[in-house]
Amino acid sequence: MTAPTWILHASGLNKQYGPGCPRCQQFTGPAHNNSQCPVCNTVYACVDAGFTLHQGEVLGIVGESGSGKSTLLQMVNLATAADSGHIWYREPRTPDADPVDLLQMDAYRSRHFRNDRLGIVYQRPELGLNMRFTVGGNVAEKLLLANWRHVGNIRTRIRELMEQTELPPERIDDDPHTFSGGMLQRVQIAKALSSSPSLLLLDEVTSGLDLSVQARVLDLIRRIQWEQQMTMLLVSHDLGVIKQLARRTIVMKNGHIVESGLTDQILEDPQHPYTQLLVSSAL
Amino acid sequence: MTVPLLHVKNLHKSFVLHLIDGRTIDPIQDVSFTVDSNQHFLLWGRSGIGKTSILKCIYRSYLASSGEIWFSSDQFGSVDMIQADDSMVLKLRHREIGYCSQFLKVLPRVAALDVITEPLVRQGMPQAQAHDIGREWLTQLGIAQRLWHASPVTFSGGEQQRINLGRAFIASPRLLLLDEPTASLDAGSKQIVVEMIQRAQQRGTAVLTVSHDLDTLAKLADGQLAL
Ligand SMILES: Nc1ncnc2c1ncn2[C@@H]1O[C@H](COP(=O)(O)OP(=O)(O)OP(=O)(O)O)[C@@H](O)[C@H]1O
Ligand SMILES: [Mg+2]
Ligand SMILES: [Zn+2]
Repeated sequence: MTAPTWILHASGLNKQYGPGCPRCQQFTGPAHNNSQCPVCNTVYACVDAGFTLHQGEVLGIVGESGSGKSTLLQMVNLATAADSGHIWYREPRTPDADPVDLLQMDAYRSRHFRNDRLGIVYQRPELGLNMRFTVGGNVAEKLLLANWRHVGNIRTRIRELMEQTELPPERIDDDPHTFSGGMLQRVQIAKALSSSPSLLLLDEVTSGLDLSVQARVLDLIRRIQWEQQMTMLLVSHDLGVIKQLARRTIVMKNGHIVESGLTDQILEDPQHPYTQLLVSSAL
Repeated sequence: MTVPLLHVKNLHKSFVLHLIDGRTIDPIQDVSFTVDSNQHFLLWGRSGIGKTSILKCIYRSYLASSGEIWFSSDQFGSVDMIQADDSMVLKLRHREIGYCSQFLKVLPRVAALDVITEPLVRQGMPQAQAHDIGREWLTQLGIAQRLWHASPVTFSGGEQQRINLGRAFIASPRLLLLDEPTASLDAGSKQIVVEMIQRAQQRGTAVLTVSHDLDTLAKLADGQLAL
């Protein structure tokens, strides 16, 4: 037997907005093509979701707008509190230690975990960056929260990250407003990688960019994944993006995971009616 | 009695087309065969009969509807490719089972040398060493040196197919699934494919080929099934 190699094992994750009522079940979910109960207006953003993520793997999460992809990602990011469920985490640097349930951590440890072990990149730079800080200041913010203290070390680290993400290091003190959309995604990536996280969360990171810029950002992500064997959760509504990066994929609809499997199987032999629609629309 | 490397047993595959009134298509009905280590097994039959679908069920790009597909793994013992979990399938694809589709599917912007050596680097070989091996393969495949650092996306059909095959053979899997390996190749390139299959067998690779090119491949096969 080989030792288990998972880094994250999530189960029974739920997130609803609203009180719920006895009729909700009858009206919500993929079979009813609805996330919101027409009786009590409760939104079921994520229902009984679970997945396993292995060390060094990219897991894709695909689905239409409002299907619950970002909600699931934000629960892993410990930014949205799950109503119930578990997210077991195994620290790759100490593989013999017992896994911990991220959802059971106290606020202090949870915050430290987020700053130190997780990195996240959003579609909109304003969500990942503070546009009033300099480029370097944005990366420094995460490093400081991850307990880096020595200013010289921090600046060296930021330049190194800017080089890694193909940004000109001499622009470390520039205003992010002077950066293009593609460059801002690189700044977000540099910031996310700064604390050497064990898990990178990506939410529609190339949506809205010009195709050529999109391709170069994807190349960068692929290179980072390859060189650092970085574990990633990749949310996208674009099957083309998922196909380039993820070996396994989860398909979400109306808050539910309707299908999961090897990415080539999802694309070539989709089982769920919704996945068939998604695949046929992408071609 | 020795266990065959691959044992396909009563394989069925149907597709439910939810977008077309839930219509069902049943391309594979009750197919059984075995492939031994070092064997070159040929599956042939007319177009549309489900040859590619069988390969894809074995590789798990398709989910079989019923039956069993036993693969005798070096690392994990007997594995049913239909029941195995996704991570197990990925591990087997990584080290033991190779698949060469009918057409090359590669990422743009990646050089031919990197495309062909990717399986070796993934298995942990240092890039410089992989590139040395890759250059030998590209030479044997008759790919002009000026093309080695270009992306195969712009290559001719025959050149793409040779890169595609080279990438599948280079990793020396225990089982190699080949879909129409000689389609779109001229006589000289077909001969290269024949030699690649023979050499792979000598290295201990079993080859399962799907083709209608019996002229080239039938004499090479030491087992076959007509569909
Ligand atoms: N804070 C909230 N309050 C109320 N409803 C919410 C909240 N956050 C998310 N939702 C609802 O939960 C559902 C899932 O939203 P989520 O953002 O996770 O979808 P998504 O799959 O990421 O969509 P997109 O592709 O558009 O980004 C939606 O119906 C959304 O309106
Ligand atoms: Mg979203
Ligand atoms: Zn309700």
